[in-house]
Formats: sequence, structure tokens, C-alpha cells
Amino acid sequence: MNATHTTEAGTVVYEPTQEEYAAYLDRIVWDAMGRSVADFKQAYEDGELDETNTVVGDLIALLRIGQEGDSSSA
Amino acid sequence: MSLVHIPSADEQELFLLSRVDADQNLIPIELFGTNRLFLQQVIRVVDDEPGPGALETGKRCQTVSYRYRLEEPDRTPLIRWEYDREPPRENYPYPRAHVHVHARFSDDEDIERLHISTDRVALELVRWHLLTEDYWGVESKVDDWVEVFQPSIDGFIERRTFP
Repeated sequence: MNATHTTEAGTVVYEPTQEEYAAYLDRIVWDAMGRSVADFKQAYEDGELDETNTVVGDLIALLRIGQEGDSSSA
Repeated sequence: MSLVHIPSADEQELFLLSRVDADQNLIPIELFGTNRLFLQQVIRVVDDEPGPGALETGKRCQTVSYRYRLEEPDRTPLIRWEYDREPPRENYPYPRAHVHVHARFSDDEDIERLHISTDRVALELVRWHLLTEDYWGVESKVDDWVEVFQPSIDGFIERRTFP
């Protein structure tokens, strides 16, 4: 996932492909939880994860779990 | 800060706003070398509904979720402001916007698991809190930050269409 440009305000912008972003999320979830994205989602659905835990809560938001629309790329 | 344009199979316009390091981990912002402020916000751009309050661009940003977190330098959380636009699961019992305070009752029991109800909080109000509480030792780079924040907060309240 490479930065594509920087805005005038100094914000670095990334425009990953679906494959790049999926790999990025896989890496983030694996580093944090030692699980794949699919395993994380399944474990959350099965009530195995402590959703009040800071790390788990961040990943729930990052993966857009329960939010409207497609989350296959997130 | 960094903005990641999240690719979406169903052509939603989605963005992740956070701070990203060289290894592309999401990391907090240093607050003058003391505590840290972690920001993670997922934003969706949608077509605006015509009518009063509609924006000239015809587009509107929706906050899908936020995680704003005051942390110690070793990343121990102190206060967590959290919001999910929709409940993340069926029978989710907690308010969608809430705060976790990493503190203890007098009997030493941790209270960080409590979901303290809030309205959806503008990031400016989180920063307002950090700047006005001497306890955190955070200073603004500008003197007129209230004049900067207040119109932004007012606009947040005026434009929002969802709690």
C-alpha cells in the first residue's frame, strides 16, 4: 500500500487496490490478534472476543463489522 | 495524518483517517511528548438528500465509526471515545456512542469496561477537553483555538443527520 500523494495540508493519501487493502487488513489483524480476518469475524460472531478490549474494538471498527454495505474489502 | 481511500466492492466511497507510520501501522499523535491521542475514523461519502441543509456539493460525509483515545506514552489507554454508526452485532446492548474511562472504583475494581453514554462527539470536543484540563499538560500551538473549534463544532451539530 503505497502513498499516492500528499495534500496541501500535509495529509498523506493512500489509494490501495482491493487486494492490497485486504492484505493490509489481514496483516493488521494477524499482528494484533494472531488470527485471519475471517477467523476474527467468526470469533466475534461466536461471542468469543471481548468487545470492550481496546484492540478488539479498534478492529471491529476497522473491519466495519455490522455497518451498512460491503465489508469484504475491509 | 493519513487518509486511506478504502476500496469497496459495492462502490461505496469510504475513507480511513488515522496516523500511519512507515510500516503502515496505525499510531497515535504525540501531544508535546507527554500523552498520545490515537485517532481512527471511518468515513463514508454519500449523496446528499435535497432540501434544507443540503450541501452545495451534493455530497455529505458520514462517520461510520470513530475511536479517539487518550493514551500514555506506553500506549496504555486512559480515556476512549468510541462510536459505531450501527450496532456491530445483534443484541448489542450498549449506546453506539460511549466513553470508556480507565480508572478504578474505591474498592480497586476496574471500571474500564463500563460504556458511559454520550452523544456522538466531535473530535474538536475531545481536543477541547485535552487543552483545558491541566492534568493532561497539553498545549495548543495557537492562542485562538476556541475561535477555531467553536464554528467547527457548531457546523458539526448543524450538518449532522444522524445521532
